[in-house]
Amino acid sequence: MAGATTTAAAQADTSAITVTYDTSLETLRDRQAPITFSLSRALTADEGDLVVLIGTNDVSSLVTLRGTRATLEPGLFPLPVGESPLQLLLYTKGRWSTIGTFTLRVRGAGGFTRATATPSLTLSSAGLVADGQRGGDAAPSGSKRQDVTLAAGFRTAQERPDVAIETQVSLVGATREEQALRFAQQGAQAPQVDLSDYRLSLRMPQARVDLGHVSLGNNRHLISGLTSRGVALTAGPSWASLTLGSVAGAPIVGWDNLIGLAESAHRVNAASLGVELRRKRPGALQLRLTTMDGSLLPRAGFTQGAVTDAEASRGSGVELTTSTPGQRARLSAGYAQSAFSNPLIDTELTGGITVVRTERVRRGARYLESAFDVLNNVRLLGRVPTRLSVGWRHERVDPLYRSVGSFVQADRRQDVLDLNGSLGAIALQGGHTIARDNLANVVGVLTSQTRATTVNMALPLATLFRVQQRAAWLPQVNMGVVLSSQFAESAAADFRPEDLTDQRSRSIESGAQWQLDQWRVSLRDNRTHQDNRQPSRERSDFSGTVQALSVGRSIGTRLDGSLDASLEGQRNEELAQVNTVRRVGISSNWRVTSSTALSSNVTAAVSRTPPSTSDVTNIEMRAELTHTVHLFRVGADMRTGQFFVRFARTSVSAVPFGFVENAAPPLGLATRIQWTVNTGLSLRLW
Amino acid sequence: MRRLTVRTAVLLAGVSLSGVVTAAEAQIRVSPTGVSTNAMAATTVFLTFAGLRNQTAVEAFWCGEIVAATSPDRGTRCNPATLYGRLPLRSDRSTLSAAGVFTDIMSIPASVARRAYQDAQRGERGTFFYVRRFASTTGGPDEFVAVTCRLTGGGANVPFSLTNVTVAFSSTAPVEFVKAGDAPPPIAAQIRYNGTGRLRGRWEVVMPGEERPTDVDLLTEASLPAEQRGRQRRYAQVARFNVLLPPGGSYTLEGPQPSGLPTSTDGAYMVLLRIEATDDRAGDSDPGASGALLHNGAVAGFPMPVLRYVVGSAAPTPESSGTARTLRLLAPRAGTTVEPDSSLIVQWSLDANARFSRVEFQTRDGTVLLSSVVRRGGTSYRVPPILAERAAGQTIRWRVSTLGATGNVTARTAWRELAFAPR
Repeated sequence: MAGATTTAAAQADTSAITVTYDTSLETLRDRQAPITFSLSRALTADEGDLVVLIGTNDVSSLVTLRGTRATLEPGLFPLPVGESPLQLLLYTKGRWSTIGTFTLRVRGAGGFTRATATPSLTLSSAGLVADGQRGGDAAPSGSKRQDVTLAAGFRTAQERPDVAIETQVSLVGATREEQALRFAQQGAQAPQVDLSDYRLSLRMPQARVDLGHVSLGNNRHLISGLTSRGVALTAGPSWASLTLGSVAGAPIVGWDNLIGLAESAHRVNAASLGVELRRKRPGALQLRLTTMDGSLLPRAGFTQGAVTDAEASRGSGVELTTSTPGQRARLSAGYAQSAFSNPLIDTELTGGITVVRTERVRRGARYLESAFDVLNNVRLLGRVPTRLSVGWRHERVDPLYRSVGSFVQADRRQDVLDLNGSLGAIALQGGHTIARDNLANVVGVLTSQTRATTVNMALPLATLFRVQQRAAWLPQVNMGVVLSSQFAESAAADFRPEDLTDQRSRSIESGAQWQLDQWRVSLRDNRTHQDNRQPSRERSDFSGTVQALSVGRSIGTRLDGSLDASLEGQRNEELAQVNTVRRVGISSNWRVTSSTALSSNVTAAVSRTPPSTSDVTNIEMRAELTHTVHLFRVGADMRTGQFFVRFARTSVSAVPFGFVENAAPPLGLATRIQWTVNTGLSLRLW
Repeated sequence: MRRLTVRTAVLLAGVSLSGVVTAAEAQIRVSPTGVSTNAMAATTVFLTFAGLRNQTAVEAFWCGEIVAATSPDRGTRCNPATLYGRLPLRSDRSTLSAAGVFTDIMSIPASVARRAYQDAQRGERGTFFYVRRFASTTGGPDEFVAVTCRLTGGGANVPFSLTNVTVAFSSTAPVEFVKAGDAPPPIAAQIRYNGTGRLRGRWEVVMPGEERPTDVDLLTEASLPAEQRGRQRRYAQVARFNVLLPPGGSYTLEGPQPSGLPTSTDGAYMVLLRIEATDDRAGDSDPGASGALLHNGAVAGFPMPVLRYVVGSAAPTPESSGTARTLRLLAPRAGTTVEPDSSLIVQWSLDANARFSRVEFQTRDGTVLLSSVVRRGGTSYRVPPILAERAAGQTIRWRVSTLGATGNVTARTAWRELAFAPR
């Protein structure tokens, strides 16, 4: 509706200024089209600056203001395609005020409000060109060849007012089979160019479909954020949402099982329905129903290592969340049931033998969490803003409860009292936990109780003492204490006295961080103690300490350097053994020119680890030079290449304790030095 | 009595063997002889079998009951009617060391513990057995060696072991693609464990062109026999960790600072989680020969997972320009905490050749909060309050790029962090 005007009244401020647009905001505009708007009156000299925000972009510098007329000329910075909030602000004498909020709609190519396609392709070649070794067992020289790797990606986004489609695919390739994406799973059979992940997303006003890398479930006891390859559909009005989905049992990569649903024995299906029971106040009372059914093969996910099993479960759950207006009191509760079994399909575990069958059992799990803001920004003594929130959490998970979609510790009841708050600049958090296991009181199973108390505190000293000048010299200080104990409640017949848990432990952590212009300094101290008290293990106690220092420094924009040092110790009181690790490392990164960089690091670590009967000293040195060259095209389309050369040297000296004590180490016999030179070349083609 | 205890069974075995060889000469010794295990989840225990003489380990079974082996075999074997399962090949990390010591990593799947628990519910005793068979290489009798497993809640008296480790970027992408010079998303390791103890180790990075780690390199140090410890290949260390894990069962280990991960060179990188052996009384084993206990805290029956990221992509690097030498951030200082209601002004040095400067504000994981273009000659920017709202209490970072006549980047500063004080 060209020629129409849209007016926004002043908001959140007493300013009488209003803003008028010359074109309808209902109309799609081109990315380069100027936007003209008028103020109801000219700004006075003391009314400050006009600020224009489009989405996350501040475009004020592109606006020309003449009297009451302001024009935004996108020029080199085209308007963002699609729908974006447009906000006008005024900064006057230290105060910000919003004088207009609108929605800007910009069309892209082909009638789409947004249409982008972003390819990326990098070819890299890297390999060993020289190496050497001195001392120790003779090791075969590394393979001196250049191995090519490929990283390719393609993202697209098309958006219209009623539908949006986004796609993304990532590929990884390597000429050397050991570098193939699935070499760990398939060995030499792994494809040399493989699919890392992909996603196709279709969004409509009240529905959404995702295919590829998706995440499923938000019931803590049934299925919680299970991210894998599969499909998910979400639909519903603003007050209700139905989600149906199915994903592979564990995260996968590769071309096989492209949809993620090819193996019925390794798949999880779920459905959930969330409803706002009080539509006028979203969040006031929410109900969520979840049901799931799934089974797993004894196979770990792509970035997972685990002791695996064949498992199957089917369950359902209900959760209720409510809060008072203003969220001062909050409560959520849930109950789930799951029927679980271990199918006899794990041939490595049960093949060829007759095993005792596990019974399929249905068990339940429940939780309740509540929190109440006792003090909400109350001014203590009339000055100090104070917050205090008290919470109680309860959870009970039946023995043998298990769901393939979520990790839950079965056979455990836990109650936690939480305190959260702040006193001025001091942030405080504390909690006390009481837990018990063997809930079915099975005679042959050890029953134990656990108590834990945690206290954490953060103190920004500069803010605390209201220091304005040289505030950076005062650090941010953090402190934390954890006290825990676990003890056996009942003794089964097969347990010896020393098997009956009775342990206390404590951990005290403190740290300080400074940020001084170009300097960064941090200190950390951690002290722990484990006190075993069961018969015959009274002296099986351990004490541990960690002290760490980190210093970083930037020199101009060209050079960064850092130093890290740590001293770790663990004392075994029973054996009178002290295990120590002392480490110091220095690293630097020098951007010689905007296209050349030199990075280096040197690390020395000395470990004394009885009863390995040796002092081990590791010294590592690495230096890497990279140089980027312009290949062709300029600006955003510029293509570049990169060359690097890296020298690395490691030495390991292992001196037996006996020789240390006798001051006559067999020099050279136990020291091994290795060095390598690697080079590489890469082309960033898109 | 349907079930025999280990002590009774060993006595029976000794009686049956009397007159053939003495127990001290022939009996393979296992350490520990009995362990507490998790009744509701997997358990991993480091075992050493000492005293092997011309013998080789064959299979291993879990069962609810043991009986004396049939002569001429020695020891106690599983009652075939009470089998729970056999040690899966995927979990078999056993190795034969020098001096007749056999190292075994017993990874008990949760389904085996479940069978034992259900037996205990039916009134059986709360123990089950792990039995290794050793065959003679010289035609002698087989020897069976049993370890007693007791059912518990997986707490402090269970050997400290890792049973499930997932390493992931916060983005959840299996492989992260990173532009050169940018930081990858934050990394964390979700760890499920038994027992309690210190989790100590290193985050390391395999650089492009370096030899990939083997499965043995990726095992935790406590999963290796004594003579192999300290011999795993090392890579560039980017962070250390040393934390006490209480008897709780799960822990999230924060990864190295994303800005500390190398991204200057194009190519494929691997992030490795290296776990060092620590003291753990419940998991100690006695190899026998030296008389010294071997500490096995943080044993695991699987290689630690690796996380990959690839540096490269289409992002054009800043063009060569002498102006980059002078572009730098001036204020606020790194790590400054500012009041959310204050009038924050960021400042940088003048680049006379720049047509524009772009000021960017992001969260640590790269989410864009605000970006502003400043015309030629501008060296400061007054930040609107919307930044503090969007930051929502997180520490954020900012940088400045200078742009040429075509909008191309001519110079760019490093990121600098700042934070807003709580409201």
